[in-house]
Amino acid sequence: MVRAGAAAMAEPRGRAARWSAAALAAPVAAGLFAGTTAWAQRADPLHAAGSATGAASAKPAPKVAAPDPAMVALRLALAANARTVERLTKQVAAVKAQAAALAARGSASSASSRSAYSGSAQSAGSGAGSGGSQKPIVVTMPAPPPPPTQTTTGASGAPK
Amino acid sequence: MRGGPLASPGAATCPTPFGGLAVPVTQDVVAQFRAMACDVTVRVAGPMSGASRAVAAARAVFENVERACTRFDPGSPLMRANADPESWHQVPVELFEAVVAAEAAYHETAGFFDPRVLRTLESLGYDRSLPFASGPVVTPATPGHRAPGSGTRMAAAAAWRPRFGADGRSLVLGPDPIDLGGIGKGLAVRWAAERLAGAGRSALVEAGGDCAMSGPGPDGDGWKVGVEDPLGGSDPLAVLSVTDLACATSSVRLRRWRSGEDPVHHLIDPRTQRPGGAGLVAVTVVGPDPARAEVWSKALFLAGRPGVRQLAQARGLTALWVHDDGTVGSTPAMDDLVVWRPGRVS
Repeated sequence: MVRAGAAAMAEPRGRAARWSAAALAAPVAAGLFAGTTAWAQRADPLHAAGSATGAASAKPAPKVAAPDPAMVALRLALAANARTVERLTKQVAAVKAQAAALAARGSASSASSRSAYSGSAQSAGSGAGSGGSQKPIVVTMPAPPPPPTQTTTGASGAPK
Repeated sequence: MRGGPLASPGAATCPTPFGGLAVPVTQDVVAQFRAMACDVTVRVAGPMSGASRAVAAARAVFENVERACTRFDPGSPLMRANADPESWHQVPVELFEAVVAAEAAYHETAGFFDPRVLRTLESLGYDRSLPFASGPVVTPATPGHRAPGSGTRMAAAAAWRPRFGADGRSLVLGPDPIDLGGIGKGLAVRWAAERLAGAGRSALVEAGGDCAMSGPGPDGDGWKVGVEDPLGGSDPLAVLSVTDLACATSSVRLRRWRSGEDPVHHLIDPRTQRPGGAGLVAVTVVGPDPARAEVWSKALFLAGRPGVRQLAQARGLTALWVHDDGTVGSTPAMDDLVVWRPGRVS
């Protein structure tokens, strides 16, 4: 009997305690939830590092930002410039090839130009006028200056 | 002859050709003076002890050759022999050796080089040292002047046969007087260069366009020689790099004048007894010996534009020539020496 009586007496006491605990815990939980939510809304995870979590965990998470219009414009300009450089490089190569071809033809036909070399293997003036009807394009390349010399061979008695 | 200073080590400068700034030649021994109607430079780079004495000896060579071989002094040994060319004359060793070398050159060039052109030069008014560097020169037409193509006694003359005494000091020139101007200068350069043997790491002798260079040059990569533009350009036609070689140029850039109404120059073709080298204005030859280079530069010049390349190649010469239209020809051997030439592209 005692046993049954003890049980009967404990149940109401435990139910009351649970209700008391629930009545106490519910506002505390609600307050805690509200506080946490409010903190989460205000807090910046990129700048909340430091103090509480330590240096090792302070590494910022990658920030996914919206594309910067200025950056986009800059990248487009760079790409356009790269294409321009590539095109100009090809043009320069073509002009060089054209100049070389003209030089080869011009050296043979420039017998009237002063001090033009006839070369060791060909006679001077040979091939003059070989340009035909093609209109010559004159391309003048700057010649490197002569290197310093220690003496001169030339006309006897010429003043130095 | 106008003398110049014999520079002490560390005190000399050498004027650069083509109007550049003077280049200090510290430690080099340099002498610059005038002889044989041209400017002369003797230079020893990296001199050893005794270099100054060697340079002085080289300078004395020019004085001795000029004294013996000039045709502008009636009292010179050459002109005394020329006054009576069919008699025996005692002459200085320089004149004796010069006539021996001239006869050898006469045979080697099959007569292209012939010193018996003196009378023709004199008939054109070149009987004295003319002021070519001072401006246009005009000499009066002389009664002896022969019109071009008229033919001469010399053109039909027999082979030149001077005679030489066994003593090495006596000779007979033959029936005609001679001019040793060109070969005399080349020989002076040769003999002066011999005086500089062992005087230093490198040496240069230059006289009126003829030069001899030994050793690797002041910078160790060969002597740099500018080939003058005979048409008067400020830049050389080419720059050569040479070691232990000589060079000479025959050019009509300077020594040309009017004899009466006729434009003439000093390079006389012995076949015609008139100024030769049609179509050419200059020829440069590079070789081991300055006198031989001088002889062949003249012979190639007299071959004229039609024959210069063929003769140069047939003789295996290192040569460069300039046509009267300014174009330039050269042999492959010369091309190997060229380190710079105008890089025009037109």
